[in-house]
Amino acid sequence: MKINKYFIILFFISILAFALRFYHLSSYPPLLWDEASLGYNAFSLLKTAKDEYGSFLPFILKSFGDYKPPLYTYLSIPFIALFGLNQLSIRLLSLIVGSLTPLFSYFLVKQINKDLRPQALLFAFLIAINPFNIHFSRGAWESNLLTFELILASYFFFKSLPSQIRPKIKLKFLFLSALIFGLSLYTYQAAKMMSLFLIFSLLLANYSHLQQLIRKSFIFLLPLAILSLPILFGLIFGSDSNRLKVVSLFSYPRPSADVQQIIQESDSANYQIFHSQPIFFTRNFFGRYFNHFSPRYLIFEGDWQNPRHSAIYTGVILYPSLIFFIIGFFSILNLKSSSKLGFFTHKSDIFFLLWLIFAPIPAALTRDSVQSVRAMSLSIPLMYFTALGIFQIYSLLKQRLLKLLFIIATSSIYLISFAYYSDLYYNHTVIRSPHDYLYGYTQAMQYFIDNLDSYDNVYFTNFYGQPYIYYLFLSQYPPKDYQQTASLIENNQGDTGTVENIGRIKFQAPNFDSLKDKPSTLVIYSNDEILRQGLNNRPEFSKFIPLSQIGQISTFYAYHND
Amino acid sequence: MTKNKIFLTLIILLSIIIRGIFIWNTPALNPDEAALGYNAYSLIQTGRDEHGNPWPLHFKSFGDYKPGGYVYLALPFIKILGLTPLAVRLPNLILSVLTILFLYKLILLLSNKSSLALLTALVLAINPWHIHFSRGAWESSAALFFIVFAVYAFYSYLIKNKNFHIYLSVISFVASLYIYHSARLVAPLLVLSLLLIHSTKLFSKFSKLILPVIIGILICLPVAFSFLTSGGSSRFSGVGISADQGPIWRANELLNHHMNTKLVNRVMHNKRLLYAINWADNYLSHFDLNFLFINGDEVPRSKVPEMGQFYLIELPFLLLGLFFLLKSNIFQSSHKLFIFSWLFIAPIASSLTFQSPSALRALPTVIPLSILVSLGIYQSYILLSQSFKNNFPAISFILLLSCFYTYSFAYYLDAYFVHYPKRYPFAWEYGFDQAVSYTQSKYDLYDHIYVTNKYDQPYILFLFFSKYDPKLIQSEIKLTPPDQFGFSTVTNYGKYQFVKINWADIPENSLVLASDEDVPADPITTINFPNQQPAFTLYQK
Repeated sequence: MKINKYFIILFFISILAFALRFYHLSSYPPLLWDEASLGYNAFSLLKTAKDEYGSFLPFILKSFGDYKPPLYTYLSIPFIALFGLNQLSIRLLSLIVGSLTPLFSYFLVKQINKDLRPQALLFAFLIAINPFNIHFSRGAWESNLLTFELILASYFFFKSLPSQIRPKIKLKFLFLSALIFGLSLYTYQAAKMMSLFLIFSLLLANYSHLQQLIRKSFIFLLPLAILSLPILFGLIFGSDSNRLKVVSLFSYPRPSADVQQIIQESDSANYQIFHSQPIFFTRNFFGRYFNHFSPRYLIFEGDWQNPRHSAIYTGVILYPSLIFFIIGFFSILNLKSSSKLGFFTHKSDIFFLLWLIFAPIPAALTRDSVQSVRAMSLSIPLMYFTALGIFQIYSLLKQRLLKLLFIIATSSIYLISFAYYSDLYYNHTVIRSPHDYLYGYTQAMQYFIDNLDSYDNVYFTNFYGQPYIYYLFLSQYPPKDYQQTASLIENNQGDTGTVENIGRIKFQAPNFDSLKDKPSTLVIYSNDEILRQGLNNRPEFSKFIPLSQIGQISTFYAYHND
Repeated sequence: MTKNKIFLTLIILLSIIIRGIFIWNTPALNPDEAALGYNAYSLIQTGRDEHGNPWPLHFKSFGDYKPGGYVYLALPFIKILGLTPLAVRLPNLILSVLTILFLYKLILLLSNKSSLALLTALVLAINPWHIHFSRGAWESSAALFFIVFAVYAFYSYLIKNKNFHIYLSVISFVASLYIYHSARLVAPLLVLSLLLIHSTKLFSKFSKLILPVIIGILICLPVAFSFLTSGGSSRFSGVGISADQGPIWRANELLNHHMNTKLVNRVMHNKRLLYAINWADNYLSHFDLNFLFINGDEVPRSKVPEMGQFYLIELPFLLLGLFFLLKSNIFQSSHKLFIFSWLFIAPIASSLTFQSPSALRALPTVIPLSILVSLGIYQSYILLSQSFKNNFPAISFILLLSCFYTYSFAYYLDAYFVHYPKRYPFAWEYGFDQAVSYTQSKYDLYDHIYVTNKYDQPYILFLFFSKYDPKLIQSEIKLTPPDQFGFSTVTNYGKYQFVKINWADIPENSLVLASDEDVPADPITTINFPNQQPAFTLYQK
């Protein structure tokens, strides 16, 4: 009976998670380049077993020259096959794993500590309504898939461990765990090291089973080793190390002018002792690391470097979660216990504490001062300790009435806080930064596709980047044809490259005055180009058709020269 | 002498040396310090402040109405040592060192563990945050002493039943109100939390407490009265959170996004809510690890380059200290509660201003944080020595920690003494003492002396270093209308003009002290910052 009750609640939590992530997903937020690229490559693989550049079943997708790991794309092929190539079908995978994350988080905690069921339930619920998880489940974010894989792999790992009933290691689950960890290396470039950190955390948290695990280590290491080989090969011989160089923290040392200043203030020995590059990197690393635990990031602003990575004017977790997180965090130590776990109360506390410590490292090792996408798996330990915190306070209250009051107060605060977040997410985020969210790309490109056959010269602006992939995606351009002509002009700094034209379609915005003697021309301009060329003050502006109105502006305009 | 006393003496000596060395010229005197010093000088000479007010409780100074306590503290030092930077700074130096002593006594009283008390004193003695505000005439640090002493005296009364100490506690709490604005919020809140936490015990002594409470209220009255009448509250309107227009703009922006004015939207995006969020942001920013351990305050006068408020090595012990405070029995639960209250109360005054986090206004936070760090170190050591049969792990822990601390401390001293004066020389207004002694030696040769107003409040530094006759300035002084932050300045007195240097407007036979303005003439000489960049370039016309 008892189990049934939990499953009913879990079922509702999953439904809630799905509903929050699915609501208006096909139109909000707008489609991003990376999603269009994943989608078109999946489409291309479905039709031809080759990616957009004609590579046969690639281990890595060249895409815009940023070399994306392929797992999300491969896993999306069935959805594209079923529902066609559209905004929703490419997001389905993320939506599904995002909705399953609460469920498996519950299983994970329950698997580690049977007596933490109520906390695990709370944990699942908090993940279901957590802005951090909702945001990246609403869109084809590889990072969301990775977070799910980490939970799943950890769950299987704990499931494989010997119990009192069965004192042997369950090899099937150990193998599954290793397989998923191996696949996670193909999921998200910047957070590969998270998988390694978690394997390390699993071993450390299960120190008492280490001997048994070592004896069966080949079951674990074999799939992992086989799956790592292509990556090691790629790192040594491939071009994806180039991309690593662009984002790495260590590619940005202290500028030489600053070094000169320090040496002038003292001398070079002083510089070497107190201010050398390793010390500079250490300070920068910790600065970035701490940013991911700052109240500013967690509840006030979210990813302040990139509006695309979180809702505007609010953080990645809800306001009350911060307080309960702190309480939960400080509740895990127990000085009086003399169990096998030392000063910890539960084994899951150790595991999630390690996860919490490791989670921001991939983000802190890159150039950005905060980076929500790379730090996404942080959401899991954050919510774990939040759940502990809420439960801790609840169990501290002795009287029934107080417990009831606490439940009512906490739920109302969460409800209000969530309502506030939802308003900011749905009604303010995209309208506040339409450029960052690439608002209007699909509308403008659809208009362009519908009209381009009637014109001799057709242009689409490159202002927001990668227009070609929207063209391919929305026109469902036959992959076989595109593979013949695909030509990416690579960026020699290692950043993303550009495609300048597909056939007669040119991805650029010509100077308006040069169009005078070019009849039969269609141009899609971006709002900024119109302002820069001063077109909005000219009489011809009445002939511009706004394609994507948002707030006071339209991000794209069409101009016809008949 | 017992071993403890020797250690304590060494710690006090160390803190005197760190805080006292080169205090006479590093950093240079800043205008606020000069104002405190010159007003004390003016009181000694004439019984009136620079604006001619007799023995005020708030000094009008730059129109910011400084609480007067520090001026009166500095009075005897200036009387004896003359008007010098050292004399202005000495009272805070002494009080800051006494803060360490009384923190030791407080922890000894609460925990009964002398090694923990010594460790806490040592952690505070070498703490960058506390050292910074000990070196200079910072009212904030002086007020902190009175708060720490008041808390100590309170517990001494409560635990050791020394009846006389409740009077000391009351007087000391009130004294802090006379010294620093932020203390006017922090000290009453601390008193309130002490009263609430120990209410049962205090209630049993009700009859003995009537007199100290009455005395406390009586000696509060002047400052309360003066605060309300003499514009003491005007300071808040300049720096207060309500002076920040951001939340109002944000409310308008969010309402505009909805493109309607339904009640639900107006409620959700009203400016009060956004001000509340803004306040919470300010408050919590004081616990941002980046502020505490990596970058520190933003204001150059309150920070040394590339340094946090605490040493990075102290972070793990801060976290452990929080664990141990909750779980161990070193402190009684009521004392634990008070330490937590202190931690949470300390940044409140600072969070009500829009420059947050502010190391200066939130200085009282340094006390609970130091207690937590030392508790973390102390308990880690105890646990290590108990969990292992031999002493090796505990000893190597101490050795390793000492190495980290030594390096961090050296890093801080280097940042403070070597890089700080050269990196932000303008923040402390280096160069004024030389500029004044030059102009004083040439005073009779010129009809006018023009000084650039590029640096903050130049007039007060000229008054200070030239020891200008207070009687004269009281009749000459004329404040400009206040700027957006509520500050005024003085643009001329005697032969001096403090203006933007515009060569064409300057009359013949003038001495001109420019900063980097364009002047079509050959300089007579230059006065340099410590980094060899010119602070003043001198011309004559």
